[in-house]
Amino acid sequence: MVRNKISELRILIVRLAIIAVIVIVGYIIYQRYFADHSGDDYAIEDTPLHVEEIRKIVELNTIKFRDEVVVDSLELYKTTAEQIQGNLEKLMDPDQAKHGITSSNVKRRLTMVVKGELLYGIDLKRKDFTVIPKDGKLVISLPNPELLSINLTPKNTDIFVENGTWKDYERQLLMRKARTKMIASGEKLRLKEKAKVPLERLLKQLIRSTQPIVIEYY
Amino acid sequence: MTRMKQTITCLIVILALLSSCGTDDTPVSNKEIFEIRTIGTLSTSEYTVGKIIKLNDEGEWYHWGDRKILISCKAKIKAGVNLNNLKAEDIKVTGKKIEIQLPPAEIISFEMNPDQIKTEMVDVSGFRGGFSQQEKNKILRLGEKSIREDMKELNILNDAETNAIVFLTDFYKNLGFEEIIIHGTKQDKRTTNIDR
Repeated sequence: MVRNKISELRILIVRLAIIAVIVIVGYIIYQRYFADHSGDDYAIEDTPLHVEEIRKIVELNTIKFRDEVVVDSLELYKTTAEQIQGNLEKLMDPDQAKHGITSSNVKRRLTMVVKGELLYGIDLKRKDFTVIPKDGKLVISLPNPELLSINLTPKNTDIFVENGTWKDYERQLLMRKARTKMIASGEKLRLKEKAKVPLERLLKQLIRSTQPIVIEYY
Repeated sequence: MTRMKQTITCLIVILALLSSCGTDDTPVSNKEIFEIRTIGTLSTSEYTVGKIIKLNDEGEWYHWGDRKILISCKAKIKAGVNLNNLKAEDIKVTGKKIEIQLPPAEIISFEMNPDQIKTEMVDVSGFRGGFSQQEKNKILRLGEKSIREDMKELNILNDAETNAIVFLTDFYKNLGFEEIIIHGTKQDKRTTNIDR
């Protein structure tokens, strides 16, 4: 009787141990393959900020252009055999398994959504401006407006799809593409020309002259 | 046992063959979202700063090994004054004398050039994988946040205000004014917004 009870107890312990092992292994597999490791809990170490250069500038910004562009880099498998092999390799890699399971024809894909801010205006440090009273008028000679700043930051950059392994220089290439696209949009919208109207309004507000103001660009 | 292995291999190959017909190569849309705003800011000071972003990812108990990364980056920050905030009563003209109350200095732009972001070192041990671009971007965001916080300690706003006063004094001298008085803004009245 006692022997039977001990035997049943042993079986119970063994079964409980098996269940515990299954639960632990299941949890590890879930964490390794399916859990969201988005890096939201990362904490960087506190390192000092180095001031490398301080520059005195004189830039009058009159147009702020906010743009959002999508940039993409895509590589496809060339043959079906390559596709099968590639997807099997992805299945073996915990970081890429989710892309391998769909077994698509995409070998690598990196899609980014980049938000940026472009500032247009005139640079009065690099180029001179003159104010000359002439025939009862105040003639202001200014340089033509130009693109003065392009603000791209990691905070405004989203990696939307990352399928396959990508190098830093490849991400930088896409960022450059985003930058070029934004500049092209600014050109298309003729923002350098549009920067003149608010510039003239701003100067008239600053000058407060009784004489008529004439603004010329060189 | 051998039979079971063969069956599993066959199943994987069939699954791969069946799903290999799937395509996911839709090109991204070229539609762009933009906003144009008229501003009137005078940038007068530019700081270039550098930072080393250090991360030691020890992971969870089920991850054997750890990952370390060092990324160096640079940020270019411009500060100045928003001349659109100048109200009529802020400029007083009496003959050849002009008195101006300058709006508070603020951060005008913040740029982290992607070409000046460099992964200096990556160390991965145990069964850990390398850092993906998505993870690196998240680490860079933390670096950006840290730079923006550290910026509060810099003298950039004081410099911007001083330079703006110098520029406007010359500007009004050119216009023929003989006495130019420009008042700055007290530090506690400046905006604390660093999220430009």
